[in-house]
Amino acid sequence: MLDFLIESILKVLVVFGVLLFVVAYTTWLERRVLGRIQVRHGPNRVGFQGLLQPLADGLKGFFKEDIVPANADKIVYVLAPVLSIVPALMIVAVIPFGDSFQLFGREITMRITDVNVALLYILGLAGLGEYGVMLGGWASNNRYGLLGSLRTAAQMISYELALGLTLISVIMVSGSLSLVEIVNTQTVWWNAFKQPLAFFLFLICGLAEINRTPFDMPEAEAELACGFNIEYSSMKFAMFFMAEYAHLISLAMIITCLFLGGWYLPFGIPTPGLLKFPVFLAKVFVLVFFFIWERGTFPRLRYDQIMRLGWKWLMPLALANIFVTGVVVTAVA
Amino acid sequence: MLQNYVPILILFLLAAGFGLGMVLMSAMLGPRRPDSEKLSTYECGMTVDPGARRPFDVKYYLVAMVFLVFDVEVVFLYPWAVKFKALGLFGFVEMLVFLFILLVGYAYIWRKGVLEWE
Amino acid sequence: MTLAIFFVFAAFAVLGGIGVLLARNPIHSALSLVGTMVSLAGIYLLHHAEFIFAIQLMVYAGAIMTLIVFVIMLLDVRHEEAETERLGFAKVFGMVLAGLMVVVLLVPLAAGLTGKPGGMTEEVLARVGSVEFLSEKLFTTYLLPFEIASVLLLVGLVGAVALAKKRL
Repeated sequence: MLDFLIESILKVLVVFGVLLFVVAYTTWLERRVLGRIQVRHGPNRVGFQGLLQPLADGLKGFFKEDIVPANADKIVYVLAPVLSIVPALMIVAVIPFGDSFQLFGREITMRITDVNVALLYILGLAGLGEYGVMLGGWASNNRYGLLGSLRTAAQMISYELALGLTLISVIMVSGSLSLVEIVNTQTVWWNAFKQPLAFFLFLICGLAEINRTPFDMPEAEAELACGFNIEYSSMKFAMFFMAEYAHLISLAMIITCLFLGGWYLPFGIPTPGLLKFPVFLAKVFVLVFFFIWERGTFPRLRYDQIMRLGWKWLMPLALANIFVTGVVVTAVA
Repeated sequence: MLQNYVPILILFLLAAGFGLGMVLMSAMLGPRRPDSEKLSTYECGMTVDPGARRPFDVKYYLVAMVFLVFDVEVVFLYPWAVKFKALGLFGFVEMLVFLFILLVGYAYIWRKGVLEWE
Repeated sequence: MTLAIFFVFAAFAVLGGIGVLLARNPIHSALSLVGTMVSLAGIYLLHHAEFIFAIQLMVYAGAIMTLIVFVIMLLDVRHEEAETERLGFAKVFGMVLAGLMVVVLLVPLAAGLTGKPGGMTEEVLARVGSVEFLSEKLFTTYLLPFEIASVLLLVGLVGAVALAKKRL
């Protein structure tokens, strides 16, 4: 029992540290890649190729004045960034990064934990993460902030529905809610091949759920002057930012596990033990790169377009996908 | 089984400590030179409107309400999807009946214009 | 160990409940209720009800509380109305009910009833709490209640839209 506890604590510390590091450097990657897309350099002054930029940003955040607006609801205003970042950092608990390896004669699994209801746990945390955004705008007592909050919340709950429905067809072919088991059903055919429509829908819903371009309504800077976090400054502002990027990385890892076969190569090509973790990382990197690329490519949708897409297109399509999956699986069996 | 949730509890404690620590450090490390202009609501230079929290369109309420109903529906689908292959044709048909009844509701809200945003 | 964690969750659940009652600001009340819901999820988990734990997080702490926070934000209910000072029928009725509840809770304690272990051992609970077991039961033995639930949801949906549409 003590062994287990020590192993868990060490794993949690390592994963937590790596996650924060990756979050910091995703911001650097995004700024550099977006810079290239827009024919400019992006941050390249602080350290070699600007590699120390995230560190500088973090330090700056701490030493900036922490403004609490006079009209704000103080308690909720301070609590909102915490409510936003805690669920965002907890999603990683049930995501498997690879198989397992031997260390000092112990078998160490490449994940923090595996639970039977992993997917529902993730959806629950995604739901809880909405409070930070909703309350942040409300507590600021700012008109733009509140409008941004309401729009974001309505958008997130709408796409959460389509996201949930899309997941159903994946669970139907995998027969489990555990991400480890879902990955292990994809040794030959990835779910992206078995469920192409679900893959496509999940990608769209996922982007909307994490408020990424072209669904970045809360940050519509032209209309809402930044949206729900308009009144936030210093590290509290940075925390909303970190939560956003933690969500982005989590989404890339979830898509890798659900649709891209986790740490397996496609078409049943055997994956050597040493290559499993690099294969997983490569897939996550490709997805993160895609998220940056599409941000540099797509214009933002209008709010009515976002809502129409979610309710009138994605939801019926997800339902139709469940129906078709059901018919095919039942007919084969 | 419960053992699998122990690491989640550890992660929760760490994440909560991290979040609260960041807020605390940010408040302690930064300078503090408040003035009435700085603490006033940010309105891009317009005159500050005291009543930011005003009642909004009932549309938002409707979307939240409709979401709640369909969310409960999806919750029923998860256990069904897990056991879908074992339940066989009978299970598939009973879920189709369940979904059909809710599709009636979906058609109703579509006709009523709940999904229209202009 | 499990008992200690139970008491932590239970304490947070009760504190959240007290917060709901005492907070003057409706949003603070709602936030306290979220805390209670999350603590309850933890308690369900300690009883080996994995699926209910996840659903409690998703539906109660997530969806239902989002709706409540949303409505408070939309309606701008800033502080409770002053007229709650009046002693109406509803208040008296509520007090009587609360008093009865206290009596019901105190009688077993006074009579020295502590309960005895039943058939729900930890092994049984771990099996019963799983998604698979629930699914088997729900879609075979309890099929009719499940189908009726969809009708109930339909009524709720139509009711909500009909009520709100009047005010559009």
